[in-house]
Amino acid sequence: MDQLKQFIEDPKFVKWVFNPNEELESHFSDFFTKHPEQKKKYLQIKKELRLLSITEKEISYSKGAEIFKSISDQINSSKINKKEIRNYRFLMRYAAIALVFFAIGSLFVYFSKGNKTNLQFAEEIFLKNAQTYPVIYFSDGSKKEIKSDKKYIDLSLTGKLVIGKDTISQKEISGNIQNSNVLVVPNGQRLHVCLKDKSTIWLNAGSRLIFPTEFNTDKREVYLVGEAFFDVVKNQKKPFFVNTSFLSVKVLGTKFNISTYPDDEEVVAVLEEGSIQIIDTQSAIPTVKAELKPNQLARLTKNDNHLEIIDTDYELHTLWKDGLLRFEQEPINQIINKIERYYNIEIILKDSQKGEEKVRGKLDLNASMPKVLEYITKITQTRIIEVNRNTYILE
Amino acid sequence: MASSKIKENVWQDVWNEFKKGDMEAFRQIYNAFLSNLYSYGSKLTNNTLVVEDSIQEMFLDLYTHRKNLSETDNLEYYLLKVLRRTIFHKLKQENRFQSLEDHKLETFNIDFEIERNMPDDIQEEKITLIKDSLSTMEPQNREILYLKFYRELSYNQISELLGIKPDSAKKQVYRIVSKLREVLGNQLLELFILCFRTQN
Repeated sequence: MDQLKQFIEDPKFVKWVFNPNEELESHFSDFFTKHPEQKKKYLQIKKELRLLSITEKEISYSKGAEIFKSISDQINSSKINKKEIRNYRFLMRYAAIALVFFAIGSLFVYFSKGNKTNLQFAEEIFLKNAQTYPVIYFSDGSKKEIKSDKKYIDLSLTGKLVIGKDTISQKEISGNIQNSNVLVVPNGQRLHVCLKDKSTIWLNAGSRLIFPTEFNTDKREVYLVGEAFFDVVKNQKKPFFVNTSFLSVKVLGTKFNISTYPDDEEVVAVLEEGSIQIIDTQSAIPTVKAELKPNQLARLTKNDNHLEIIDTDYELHTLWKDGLLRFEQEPINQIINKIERYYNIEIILKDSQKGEEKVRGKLDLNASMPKVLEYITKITQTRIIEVNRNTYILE
Repeated sequence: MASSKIKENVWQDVWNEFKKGDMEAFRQIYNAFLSNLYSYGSKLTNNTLVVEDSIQEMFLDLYTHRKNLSETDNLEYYLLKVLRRTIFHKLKQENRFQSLEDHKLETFNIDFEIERNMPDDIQEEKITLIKDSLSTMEPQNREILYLKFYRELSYNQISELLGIKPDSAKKQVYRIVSKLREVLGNQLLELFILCFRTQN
């Protein structure tokens, strides 16, 4: 027993028996090379003690991350409640909001005068304004964050506002009903919107949509930066216009997708149903450049203003609205790239050969980021190490 | 021993940073100890929700009271102690009508691996004997074993945590291990004979 005591009270030995790691394995194998006569005894005692070994219950990576998020959310909200607003970043947020309103002002000028430089300016401002949740800025200066699980906002009801599953009553917005409202969807978020005319729009991550409280009598006009899928309610008397900095799309009633991210070199419109007209807004007098049929795609190259029409499968361009990425024989590296962009994080895959492997399938981005990361660890058969909030290593 | 001392010193610095309000240090501590805390917590209660809520609550409390937290020479022990207290508090709240004494466990949910995986080089009847003695083990002794072998706490820490006499944790561990050896007694002999035979 005394001999056994020695073993039990040796932390290295205990750890080697119950929580072994590579370091300890090599420590003991070195020890056995030097003292081969000890090996049998050590292994025997290890084996006996292992009879007491138990199963440790493990917490999943995503669960752990979820708990930490609630902790830090609560810490942050209590900070605001206590009005400890000495935080620089918090001041920055106010600055960003101020800039948004400044930008709304600029857009006004655009809507009335068609001033393009102001429009591009607005585009740049909007993208620097980072937030956690989608936000709607109303023309009267109020704002609402869409924090609900169901990322949905319904603006079609008078005096009522539906956010997620909740309906809240809202005062009529005073002042000019032509005033613009702005929806801002930050990276990593999506939002489903129902407008006054019951047209619905899915806004993708990093997008902004500007629209009036009440549409004009002769046309419905919105402005888009980023990517959106439109399902426009038919109204022959009031055509629907989607304006971007490079082109406009005129529709009577139809389903289509537009991608016009400022960082991308092209603007792409894809038609699922109905018909749309692509209008060139770059020339002095706006002209209809093309009319799309379903499953056709219009691509405008920004630097030379070249427009081409290509046959495609619309689903490839619209699956994102259901939170899905579809890939056909795509290298894992590329999928990782997409996830990196989507969540604005860095993922380092230690075994670069694994990144070359091609997979096919769909990835559900509706799941939380940790869940998606867990999925990647499964297809790459790796373990994830969180270096910090924005950097992850797969090994 | 030296290496574990160095490790503690590393945590000392992070702990101090955290006390100053550094979120990154807070995050580091959380990530480093989460799995051990969860493992321990889910042995204290089967209710996974209580374990998760308690972990969330204890870290929130740690953050809120960070300025008044005491110095600690073993962070893991400190965190395990806070978790134990939080879980007991939660369980008490949930069973408002059942009296639940402090430091007194009704169960300690240890799954001994031997109950699922049979070691193939030990006689079956001996395994049955071992299983029997393990399954009748007191919850407190189960917890002592777990804290000693898996969380690598000292006997003093274990005793303090469970509110028992300083030397009784040590006594229990030796008692259990001796018992195990007793059951295996003949087995050892057989193994030696086996080795002897194969060598010839």
